[in-house]
Amino acid sequence: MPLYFGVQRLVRRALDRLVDARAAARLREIPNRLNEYGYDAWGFNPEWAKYFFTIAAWLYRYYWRVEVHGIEHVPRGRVLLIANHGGQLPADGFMLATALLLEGRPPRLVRGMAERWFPTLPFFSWAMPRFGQVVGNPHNCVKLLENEEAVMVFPEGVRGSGKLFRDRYRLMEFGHGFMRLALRTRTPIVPVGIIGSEEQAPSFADLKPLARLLGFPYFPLGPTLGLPLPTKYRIYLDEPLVFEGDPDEPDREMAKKVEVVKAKIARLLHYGLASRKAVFW
Amino acid sequence: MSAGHSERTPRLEANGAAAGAGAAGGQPAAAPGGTRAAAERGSEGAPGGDAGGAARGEPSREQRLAAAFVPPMPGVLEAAPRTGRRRLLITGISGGLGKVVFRQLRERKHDVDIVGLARSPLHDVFRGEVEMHVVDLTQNRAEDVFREGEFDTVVHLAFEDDPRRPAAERYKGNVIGTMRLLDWCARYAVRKVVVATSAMVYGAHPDNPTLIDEDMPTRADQNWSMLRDLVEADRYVVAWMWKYPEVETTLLRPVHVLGPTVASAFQFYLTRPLVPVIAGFDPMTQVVHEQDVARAVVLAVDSEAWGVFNIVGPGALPVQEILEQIGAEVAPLSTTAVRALFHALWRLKLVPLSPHLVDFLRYPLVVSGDKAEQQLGYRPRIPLADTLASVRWR
Repeated sequence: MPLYFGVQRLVRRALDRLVDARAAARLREIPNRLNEYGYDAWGFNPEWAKYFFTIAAWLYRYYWRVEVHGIEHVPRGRVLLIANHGGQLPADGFMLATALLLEGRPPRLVRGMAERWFPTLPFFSWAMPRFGQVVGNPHNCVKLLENEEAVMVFPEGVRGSGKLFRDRYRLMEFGHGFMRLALRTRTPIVPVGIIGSEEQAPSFADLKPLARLLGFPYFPLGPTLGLPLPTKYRIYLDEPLVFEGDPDEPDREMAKKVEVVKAKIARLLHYGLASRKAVFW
Repeated sequence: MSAGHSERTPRLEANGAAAGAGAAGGQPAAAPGGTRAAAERGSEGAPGGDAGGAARGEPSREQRLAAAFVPPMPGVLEAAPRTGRRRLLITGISGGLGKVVFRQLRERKHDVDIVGLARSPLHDVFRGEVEMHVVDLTQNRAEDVFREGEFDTVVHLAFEDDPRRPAAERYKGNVIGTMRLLDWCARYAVRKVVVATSAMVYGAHPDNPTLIDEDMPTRADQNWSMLRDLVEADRYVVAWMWKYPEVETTLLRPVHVLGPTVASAFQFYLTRPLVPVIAGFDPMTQVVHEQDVARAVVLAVDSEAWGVFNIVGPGALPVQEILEQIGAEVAPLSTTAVRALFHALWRLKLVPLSPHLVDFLRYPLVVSGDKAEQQLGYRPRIPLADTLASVRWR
């Protein structure tokens, strides 16, 4: 037995005892096609993903104590999950993915569209594909949807995640890319409203020069410097929307369709905020 | 993208019809983007369709070719009606892939006479059955093989990636050799040309999407001059495909080829006594068995379809999973260390490893084999386990 892989196997055997049994079991039920070594073309592998989702499941249950409403609206087969974005770190995406894994019927692997610089970072380059995250570009998204997968998109992008505290739950400008992809691949869109994430790391200003210096998209100035607090997460999913039309319509036409989705998310956020009694419980 | 679909084919058709005067004017620029259309023209423009679309009332392939006809270079010979046995030329027949392709063609196609052309003699038990020409494609007397050859089909496999030969020599062999060969194919009325480069022409980049299609840019030469000759040859073939539509040209881009006969750089890397890997990086990659690639070449020789095709094995794997499966001993190092090591080895010119391989150990390259499956009918037959078993870590 070669040394490197031998040591790796011993470490994994030790880690296997700590693995969350439910997350691991549900990972094996995901209806994705894997090759004989347990990988798909993007690099997802349930035997590696279970370590990550063990941590995610702990955060899901005990840190953010996530409540999910309307998960039955997620259809089988291809689907685009369109959600609001906030909270400096992409915890909202990870909790949405964990929700669909732990509570989806059947369990679904949610593919996030990661920033392009992640694959240039050691560890992230290796780890992110193993638990199903892919580099965000339209080609990847189309291929995933054609493979009948669930893809999560935050059309606000960095504009959303770097939001200041005073703008919390105010939807920023939406990109149109997801709508064109949905039309091209005839994919149903499930609007998602995530409550809790936008208060997890209050930011009062964006230190742009420091961000530029560090190569970050933004640098939040706030009490936690971007680290998330244990706010109570509430995730609301709405009925799937199916749009018809030409994917190459001009932006003006596309904006009308995007506005429909945005209004649905705004409604979910409004409902969620009105019905909760406190931010942390 | 998809609106371009409906428009692209007629536009290129018009371009081809008008090309009688302007000939190659705008062609090379249009060619890389038009690759998909190239193949679809072979299959009558049906997206993902079969090769027999002529029944749907569209103009036949011959009519389309007549419309797109570009006068060949002066002095072209009329294609003589061929009766009896076809003659097939394999360039680079003495190389690893050349030998495997020769064996398969010999076994499967009894109606062809195989002619070999290579820089070095063919070492094979069946070499007696081959009319062999030991000549470099860049030498003038190589053209004589064509003058007398009357080839029906040319299979071009004479590419080298050995960094031990001077870069200028490699460039001459790979790029100039390919250009000259294709010129002769046009001049001496070859009906079908099959060229195999490599999926490496797409390059390994951090922003690579997964399941890359044939019409995506070939950008491996962005960072590495070592791959520039391969990419340039590849692009030249694509442009040439449009310049001479009367020749059925098929360009195959196989992923890393493994097997007992071939000697790819990736296979050499996998079989080192201590294999350096980059800590924190483990990109997805693809391997294919040499017999599957050879079968793809045979299919391309037989097929009506033409265009550019990725040739894949079954499934993709991370590099380190491959190393674990073949039982290799590895040493995880930093990117800087691995790069320095590869640069040092390359300077010494002792081993066929070049620094561009570091990119393929850092960033993913996964291509889609769907087009080859739909249009060539190629599907890998050899399971991953058997492909990996054919590589012995020593």
